[in-house]
Amino acid sequence: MMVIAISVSLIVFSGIWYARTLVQSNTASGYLSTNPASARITLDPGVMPDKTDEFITTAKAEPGVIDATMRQVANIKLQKESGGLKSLQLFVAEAADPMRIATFKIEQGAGWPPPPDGILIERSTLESLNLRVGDKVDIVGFDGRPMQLTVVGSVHDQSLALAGQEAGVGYIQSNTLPFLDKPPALDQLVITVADQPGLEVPSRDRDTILRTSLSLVDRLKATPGIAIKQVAVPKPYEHPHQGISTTVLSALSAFGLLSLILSSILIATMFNGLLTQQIPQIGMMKAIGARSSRILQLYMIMVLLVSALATVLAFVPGMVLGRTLAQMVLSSALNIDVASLSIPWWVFGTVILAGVFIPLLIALLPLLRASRRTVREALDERGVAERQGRITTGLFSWLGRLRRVDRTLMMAFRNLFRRRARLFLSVGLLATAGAIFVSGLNVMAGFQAIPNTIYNEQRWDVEIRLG
Amino acid sequence: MHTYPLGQNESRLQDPPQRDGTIIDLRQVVKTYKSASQPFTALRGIDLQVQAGEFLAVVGKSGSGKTTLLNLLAGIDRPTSGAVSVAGTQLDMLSESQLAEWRGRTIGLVFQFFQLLPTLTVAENVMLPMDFAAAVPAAERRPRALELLEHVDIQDQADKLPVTLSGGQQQRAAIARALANDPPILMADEPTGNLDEATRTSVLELFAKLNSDGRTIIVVTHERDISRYTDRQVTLVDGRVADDAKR
Repeated sequence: MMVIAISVSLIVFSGIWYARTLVQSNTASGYLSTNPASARITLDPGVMPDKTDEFITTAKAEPGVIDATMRQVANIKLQKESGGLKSLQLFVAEAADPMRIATFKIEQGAGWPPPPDGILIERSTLESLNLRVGDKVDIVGFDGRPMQLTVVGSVHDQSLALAGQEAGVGYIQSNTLPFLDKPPALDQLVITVADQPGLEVPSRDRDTILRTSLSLVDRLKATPGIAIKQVAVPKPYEHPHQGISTTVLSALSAFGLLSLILSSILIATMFNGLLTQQIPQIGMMKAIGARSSRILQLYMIMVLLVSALATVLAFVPGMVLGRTLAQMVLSSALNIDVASLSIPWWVFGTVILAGVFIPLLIALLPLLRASRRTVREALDERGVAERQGRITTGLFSWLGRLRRVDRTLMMAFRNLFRRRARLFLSVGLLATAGAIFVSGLNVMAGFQAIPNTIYNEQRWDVEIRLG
Repeated sequence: MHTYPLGQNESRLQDPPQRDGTIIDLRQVVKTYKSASQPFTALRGIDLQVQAGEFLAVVGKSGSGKTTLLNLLAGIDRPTSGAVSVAGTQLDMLSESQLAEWRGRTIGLVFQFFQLLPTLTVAENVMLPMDFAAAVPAAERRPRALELLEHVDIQDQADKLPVTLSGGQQQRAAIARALANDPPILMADEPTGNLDEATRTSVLELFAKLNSDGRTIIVVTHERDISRYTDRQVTLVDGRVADDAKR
């Protein structure tokens, strides 16, 4: 039973921790594979194709800027709702853009650039729209006219979440914008920034990025007819939706830890019961010459064997659980491909330490107490605490004076208080298990309530965004 | 029967146990137990000397202090006041761990309910004190255990678990275990209390045989006809020596 208790809790704890490690490492590697922008400077008005090189050159000349390009983000409606999607978020770049910053991976069809009447669609959006490469996507141009773009390829962009509730994602070149009745202007200057001039690795320091961006902005302000609308500096090296997955995994980690605590209490309860039965044998061993240290050693080895066996049993299931959970979170919540399922050795080491040493720690105090009992005390052990507390004694006396109380019921009640440690451990175990269960229900209800809460707070029929 | 010198790592806690002269010396020993209601004095100023090689029976009614006396002699319990010297050692000078070590080499204990460890075979139970005392070389422990079991006539039960043995056989196994480290003193608390008539006689005869080998034996008992086997009988009444008769 002890082996099973330790194994199950270790499987849960290790599985969640492996998942957390894998999600963090794959998210980081997947996100970084897109070479995300350090900063995006939104200009007003947008820059026409004949001027974009000028802005890119100015940006690259800024000390600390590694690379720069111009982009645009626009939203376009679908002619009719499909797969729950009503619009497409279009990421626009020049046809000659080398696609070194904020890039994506071509999965099917043509690479970059798509033709002026074509579009690359993010794979999750393609699935939602139930389209294939070669199909046409029906959209509404910026002038309100219905038109079609040909899906020339599907891409995987690991910097974006899956197709949202209402908007999908597509990629067009800037020459497609006139086709949609919009000038081919690009209004975002997208840069990558290093810690120091001459370095090629993007900075991890947001303050450095902000400083370089603002310095570039000051230089751009000198350009007549251009205003700076916004400077966006996201947290470096962090996937935009990593906060959500971290929150979910942190909640799961908390439950993993709680399961470890619960199993610890369970182990303590079982061990307490086992030791109580073994106390007369411990007394006997001392009577025939065993020292306290020898007895302690004997039982610590027993606990070590149990915990080692349990840890071995939990090893593979924990890994399977962790990898499965990680794949689910990465593919369904973060749109990240799993690049590697290998878990760092130190994570394994920590799980092994937890599995082997937590039971030893729990067992240490009761073992020390049991091994230090005198021979007489141990041999005289009858399973009842020698001295009951005053409250307990008073309670028993009062119960005994009650008339018409069934004596077997009284015996059952008194049995509860025979050994206080056992009572506290049993009550603690049940209370902790109950608390975990209720917490789980609350968390589930909380997550389920979020969309309803958002919906209920949006008490309007029409939303108009002013430019 | 083999005797074994102290092992390499053993510390000498006292002089080698005597095989002649006074081996047990109690002076004004008092033992009082604190209970929830009021203190209970089990022994009231006991003076007792036992010679090496004696077969002593301690008799008395329930509650007279017999088992308490035996516990003090074996170092299982400590007196409230007074001095206890056994085999040249002042027991109150020893810590619990030292007492355990001393007991393993000096005293062989036999209990009414045998107290064999249920998860060890009979032979393993006999070898256990040898493991704790480390006086017998490891390679010689099993042969010695089998020899002891043969001495008590249960050699064919060596590899069985205690639960499969009869009461008499278990008690013989317990006696063999008590002899594991060749202790000079054997102490038994109601060794025949849980046995049938025929088995009781055979166990008492075994004790007599061990006594004839020169071992000091102290038996706490209710047996009325124990005097047939013993040299001396001490009667306790209400924690005091009421009678001390030599045969």
